[in-house]
Amino acid sequence: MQFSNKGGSIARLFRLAGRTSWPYVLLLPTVALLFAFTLYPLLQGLWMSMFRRGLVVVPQVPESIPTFVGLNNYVQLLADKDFVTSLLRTVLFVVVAVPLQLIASLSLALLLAPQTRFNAVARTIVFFPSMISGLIIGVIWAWLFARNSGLVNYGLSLFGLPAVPWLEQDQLAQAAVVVAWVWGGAGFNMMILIAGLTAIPKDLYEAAAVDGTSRWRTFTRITLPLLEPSIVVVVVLGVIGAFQVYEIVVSLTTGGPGRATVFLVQNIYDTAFKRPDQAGLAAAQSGVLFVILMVLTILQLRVAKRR
Amino acid sequence: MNFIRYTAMVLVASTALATPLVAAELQLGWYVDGDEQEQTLRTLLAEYTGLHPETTFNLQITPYDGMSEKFRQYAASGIMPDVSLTSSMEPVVRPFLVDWAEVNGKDWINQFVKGWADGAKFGDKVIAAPLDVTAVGIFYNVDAFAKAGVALPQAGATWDDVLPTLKQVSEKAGVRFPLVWDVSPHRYLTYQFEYGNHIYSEDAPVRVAMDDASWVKVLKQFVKITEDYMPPGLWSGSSSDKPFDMFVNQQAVAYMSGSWQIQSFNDNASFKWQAGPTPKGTVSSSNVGGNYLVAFNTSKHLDEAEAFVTWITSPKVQAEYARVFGLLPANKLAPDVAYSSPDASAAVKGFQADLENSPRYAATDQAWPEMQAGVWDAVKASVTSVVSGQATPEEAIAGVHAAAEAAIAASK
Amino acid sequence: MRYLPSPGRVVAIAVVLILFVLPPLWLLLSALKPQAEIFQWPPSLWPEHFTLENFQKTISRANFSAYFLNSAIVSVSSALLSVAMSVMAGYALAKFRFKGDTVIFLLIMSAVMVPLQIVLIPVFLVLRDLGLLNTLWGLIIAPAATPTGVFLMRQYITGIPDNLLEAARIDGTPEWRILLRIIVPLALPAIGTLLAFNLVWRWNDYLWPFLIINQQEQWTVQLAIANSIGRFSINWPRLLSMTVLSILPMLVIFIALQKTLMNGLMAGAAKE
Repeated sequence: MQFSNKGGSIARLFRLAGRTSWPYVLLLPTVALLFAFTLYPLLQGLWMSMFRRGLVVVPQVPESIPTFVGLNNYVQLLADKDFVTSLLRTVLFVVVAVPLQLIASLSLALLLAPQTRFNAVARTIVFFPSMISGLIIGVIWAWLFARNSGLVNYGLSLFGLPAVPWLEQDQLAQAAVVVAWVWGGAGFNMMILIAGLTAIPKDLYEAAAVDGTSRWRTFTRITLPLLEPSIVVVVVLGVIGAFQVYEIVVSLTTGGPGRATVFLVQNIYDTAFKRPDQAGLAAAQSGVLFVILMVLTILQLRVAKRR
Repeated sequence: MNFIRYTAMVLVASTALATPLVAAELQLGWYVDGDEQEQTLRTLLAEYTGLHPETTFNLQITPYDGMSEKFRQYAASGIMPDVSLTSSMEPVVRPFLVDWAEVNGKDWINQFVKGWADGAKFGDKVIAAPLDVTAVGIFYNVDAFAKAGVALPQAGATWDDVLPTLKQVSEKAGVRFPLVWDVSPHRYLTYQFEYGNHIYSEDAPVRVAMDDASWVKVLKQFVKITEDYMPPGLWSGSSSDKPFDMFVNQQAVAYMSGSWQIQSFNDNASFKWQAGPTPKGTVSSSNVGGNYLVAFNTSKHLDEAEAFVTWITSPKVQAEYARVFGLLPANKLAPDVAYSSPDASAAVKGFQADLENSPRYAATDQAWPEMQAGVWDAVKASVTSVVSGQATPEEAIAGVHAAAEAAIAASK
Repeated sequence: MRYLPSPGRVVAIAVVLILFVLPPLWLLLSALKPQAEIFQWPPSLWPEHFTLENFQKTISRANFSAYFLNSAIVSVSSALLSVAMSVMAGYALAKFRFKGDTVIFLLIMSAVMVPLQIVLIPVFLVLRDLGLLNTLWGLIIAPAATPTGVFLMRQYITGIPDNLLEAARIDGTPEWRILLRIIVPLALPAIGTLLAFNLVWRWNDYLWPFLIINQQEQWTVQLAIANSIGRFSINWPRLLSMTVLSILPMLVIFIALQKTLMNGLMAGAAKE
């Protein structure tokens, strides 16, 4: 490699100044685009949460005109039965689905990481669900789980078992959402973990083999710790994604049976469109979601850093 | 003399030709149910351009589910098409809609099917032009009846008569389910209508006219029907079974849906089917639906937009529109339509008669703008919550009542 | 390097393959059935009347090749842009300590913490004000900044040894050279993965095209698929065949990128 070594102290000063401002330069495009298309609208959304207003303000529609209510929307939420149940339901979903997601994608990554032709094909097959939109994932599983025309129940009937009302019983429907969600994200997370696995230097394993370390010990003492950055990605993104589960539910159960699979984002939607002046309340719910995710992310990153 | 007259004629003629034809390209927002519909629409638009060369069209197709979002974008940004197809007029977009009473006079709206036309009125204004109407009704699988050796239901038969017949046919002809029903509050409401129940008063001022006890009784009946005659869980609110596909694939003897399916059955059903007669409760009732055309008062080509909408809703064109799209014309003055098949023509005639003979409240309920403010969702939820065991019928109906009251309160 | 014992391996792989092969297989086979057969009872996996008519109908649609061309242009451009930005931002967050680094990181991550749907109208207004409506550029630029990508690159680049960078700096190498000649080659597995992800994400975008595009000639594949869902019924033959066709390019790209990944990893292994 040719390293440049030109110039005296002025050039070096320039380079120093360049080095200090370099990270800001690197971050500029990302931050600028994010600000324009996501953060600025987000701020507007948070501002909206302090008003009673419609989604769109049209002067001739009196309910849509903003009236300042301060934090009243947030106070209202504490007593809002629909909001609280959907929030608790979402938390339960996250607690169940994210660890399952991690276990599933980790197992897949360990299984399919070695560079063989067969594994390359298998990896592509496993990645398939990540190649389609959440809506189609929901459609596929709705089809599979359909009580009267679904493949799963048909398969059961071949063994003489009765049809299971997968999507019509509260817990079963929630389980179905978990299954579809984990299945949908398995390939994506598997690839992240595989990228991390391949970064672990081979000589560590060779040394362990020479020492006669057991497979399990190798896994827990070498693989897991060095895989940690990738695991953090899977968990952090998983939590953020699970809290916002929506598309899959729309095509899988549309929130049913009754309201058993109405999670937070769908509740936000329902609130915004139910009455012409509820957009502020819906924005407040988004605000709560935002705060929860921010706090959780900071906590997770802190825990990761300490290790 | 002749020479002067001749010159005068030439002068007049050439002046007419010299009048600049101002080209107007109209942006049309539209949703279609399939490629054939889009082709048919383009042909119709080309026909109009043939008659009025200065008007061309830019067709912007949107999925039906995306229309409300699009309307919100229009209202927020001020960027709107010239004309749009729609099935309801959202509150946020109402201020931007052309008032047809101003354009075509107060009586112009009276030439359309009353139930649907009433829904286009907003106070003194007429904010939409009815384009086509649909009627709710039942379809029978004639082949299944023949195979079972059972006679088809006759006009005037009640649900109590017809349901056991459907079960008989399904058992004898080996069809999986007696009945499938569109999981839609609009179709369910028809059942309530047939027992004399309706949500709002028929006359202004609007007030809630629900007899809760009667509603509960009919709801319980309906839930029993879903248990005894329909695929299990169809009305649980999360069923992924598709009634249309089940009927077309001969998994059901009867299908409660509406007139818009006529074209699809013509194209896709490989068995003989018949539309109606729809069983009745204490009264015979259908439910009206359809599409409107709205024009936006922000349009730069307002004259051309208004002319186009007036043309497509005029009697003769309505007959052609109905024929090519397999729909019912909204204009009562439209001449009789000769549909693509005698089955279709018979079916349409039956549906039109059903609409005519429905009680008045079948039309007025959804004509009230208050219906659009969350009442439909409450109606659907009342059934799904009872079927899935999350609410008692009394609680469910109380919920509908409350939503109807809230809608009136919100519009004050 | 084998991570798990052999007999369990075979069973595990068998279960995995069934779970993951069945749905796409069934999707493909359903697309090869005539309309009347798709929902028949009892359901069958294998088509009774094998037919290509669904695909023929879909391909002969007026703007079919335009949809795929639009999707291709948008996906590739946006993915390249996005990966470039993610590498830069991830490197800055991983290897530099500067004023506001945590705040900026959290700011970037916060962009994924609110579902896009609730701020759809404000976003629409921004697009209008920037003149990006009805343009493919809008589709390329608007979703290009991906916090997930930044996060991924940050985590991966953290693992690159600092001494390499120190040595280069001591030698007086300009920063941009360090980025291009040291960071990028060492981060190639993650870059390849991220490129694949971005291509898939942009290809599957529905919300952005719905917001930005109005003319049928500018439709992407996803908009075309969404229009198979009509008001009263779903056009299953069209939905299925279009979905299958839409997956094919991504399959090709994924396979190609896996090959590059393998080569990159082989090179990395040899260097050790």
